[in-house]
Amino acid sequence: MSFKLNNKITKVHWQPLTKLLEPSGDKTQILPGFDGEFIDIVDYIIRITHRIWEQKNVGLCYQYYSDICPVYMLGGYSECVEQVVQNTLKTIAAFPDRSLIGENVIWKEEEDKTYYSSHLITSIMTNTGNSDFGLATNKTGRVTTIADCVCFENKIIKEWLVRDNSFLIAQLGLDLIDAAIHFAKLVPNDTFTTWYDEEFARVRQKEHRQIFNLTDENWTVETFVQSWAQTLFNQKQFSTLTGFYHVAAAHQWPGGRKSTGLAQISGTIIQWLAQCPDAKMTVDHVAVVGFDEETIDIALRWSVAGTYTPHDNRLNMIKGQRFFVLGCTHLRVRNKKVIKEVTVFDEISLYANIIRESGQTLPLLEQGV
Amino acid sequence: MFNKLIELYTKGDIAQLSQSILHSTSWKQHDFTAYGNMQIEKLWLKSLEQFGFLTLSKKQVVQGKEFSAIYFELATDNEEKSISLTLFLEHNNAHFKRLHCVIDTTKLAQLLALTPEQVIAQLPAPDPLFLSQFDHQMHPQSYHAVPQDVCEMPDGVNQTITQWWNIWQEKHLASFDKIYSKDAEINVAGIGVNHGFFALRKFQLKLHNRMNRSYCQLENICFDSDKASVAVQWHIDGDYLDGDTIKRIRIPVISIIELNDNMIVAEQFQVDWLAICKGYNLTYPFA
Repeated sequence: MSFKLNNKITKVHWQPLTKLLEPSGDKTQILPGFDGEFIDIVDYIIRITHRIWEQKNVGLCYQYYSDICPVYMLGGYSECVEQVVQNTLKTIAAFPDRSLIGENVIWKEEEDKTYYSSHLITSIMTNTGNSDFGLATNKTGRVTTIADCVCFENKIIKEWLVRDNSFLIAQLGLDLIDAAIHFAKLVPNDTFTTWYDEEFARVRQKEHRQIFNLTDENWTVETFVQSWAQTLFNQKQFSTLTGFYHVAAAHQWPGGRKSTGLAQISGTIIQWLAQCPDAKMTVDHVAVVGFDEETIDIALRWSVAGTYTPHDNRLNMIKGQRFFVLGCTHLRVRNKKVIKEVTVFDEISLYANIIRESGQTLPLLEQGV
Repeated sequence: MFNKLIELYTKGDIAQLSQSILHSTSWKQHDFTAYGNMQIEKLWLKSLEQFGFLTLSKKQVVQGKEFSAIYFELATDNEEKSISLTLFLEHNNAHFKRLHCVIDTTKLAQLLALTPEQVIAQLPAPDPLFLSQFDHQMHPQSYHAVPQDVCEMPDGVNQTITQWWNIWQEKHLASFDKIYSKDAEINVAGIGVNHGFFALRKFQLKLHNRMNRSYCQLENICFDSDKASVAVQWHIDGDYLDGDTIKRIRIPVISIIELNDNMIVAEQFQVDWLAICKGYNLTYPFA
């Protein structure tokens, strides 16, 4: 594969937390403008996340986020460090024992001297306080998050944040559509609306009929992921899954969709795309690092836009609305095939945005269809 | 590593096992995935409360390259009652990364002298999976995992394990006769130990006939060349016929297979039936 493993940069997979928090190795990246204690960009991400979230030093956001820091989420947009601090505090209050387990950090050094990091996180948290999901349930849940950050001189200056909220609320015993109806009542700011409109329009311009042949000769990480998006999501050619996935690949998608192997993965993608049959996808950022001598990890940030066609009778009233997803995916690739995929996006916000834009008032589950 | 697991259940040695648990270790048991020390330790404590401190009565280890597995039984002092556990694990000899622990909860019910319903009430809520519909058919040019796709094994072993897999995936029932030795010791969770394959064949038919559109999927295999044993982590998806209703379900299975001259001489077919009943709100299939 067209990638060389850099063994010197911190690898999270087998490291005990104690070692990650007290790295003993030499500094392996220059990291201009970063605090001298950080040996590489992975170390920076792991340690600041632990300090802010697990040690509850919320105020450290002032140290590690720039004053103006656009954070793009499907559920809203925040622009400054003050909002990051407030949102962090609000979440910790509702889920006071929230742990942030760093599963992987895939990174890239950009041409503009910034670092891009894609941080895959598993959180365990107990919902003891009221939250945007509703009243406290006192149940413990697990949620997967991917935080894509642009880092420059010791600060995060831009972020795309996706969280598998639909899986979380399933564990809390809450209904997905009810949660979306509640979320739809939250009014987003103007910047979010502008971003949403512009992103939707941008993705809809994607030329989806162009054939992208992936061969052994033209195989690179970039051609692989562009072909993955074009062939599967834009052209809906599902028999080609065999060119992208190992026959026993593990595949995790939001809302508890766990698949293994081509038949199940195909089913997951087909069922999901059927609610937006004219979906177009763009891959908006790609980063790659080595996992071991034979395996690479790829981080993708992507967008999907199209027209909503509900599966669920409760949502029939909002058919035809704009359907837009901001998603992130981590792929583990060996011998040019995906052996493991974790895809994250916020399904609650996806439906909330559609409901809000429709202007319809939908009944909650207990009120009947 | 294996001793640490056994000593958890025989001595309650949580401290020793905790040293092998990473912040990012996941431990799946009763179809619930626990992450981090807080959740994993809670599972251990619950198991210790349920099992008591029993004695190791049987052990089978499958030491593979990336993955390993262990089957063991713990029994009361008079060996009248026992419990069996199978663990399929990813480790690096220092730490565990992922463990899938399958407990025969039908034996647990016998150990505790409880009904299946009472045991089900004690189990953690399984992960709320969203099982997408898919085409389960083996079309001529569709691709479905076979053992050699996930594990390198010597030709003879591979041929036997492939035939074993075809019994489940493609319902090649005639292969039972070809790959099981006459007095093979076969233990099926919920059914018990039998010699020869007849009970297993009957169980296979019963299970597949209880489901429409059943589909078997390999996840991982580990092969122990020293012991000529194989551990297979796999699952069955299907539409389960439960009275008048049809429920889409997934049955996770770990099979531990022991070979002699490429014939199966022993097999542990481990399923946590009561966790499945809880997760999909099913009636117990073998009552």
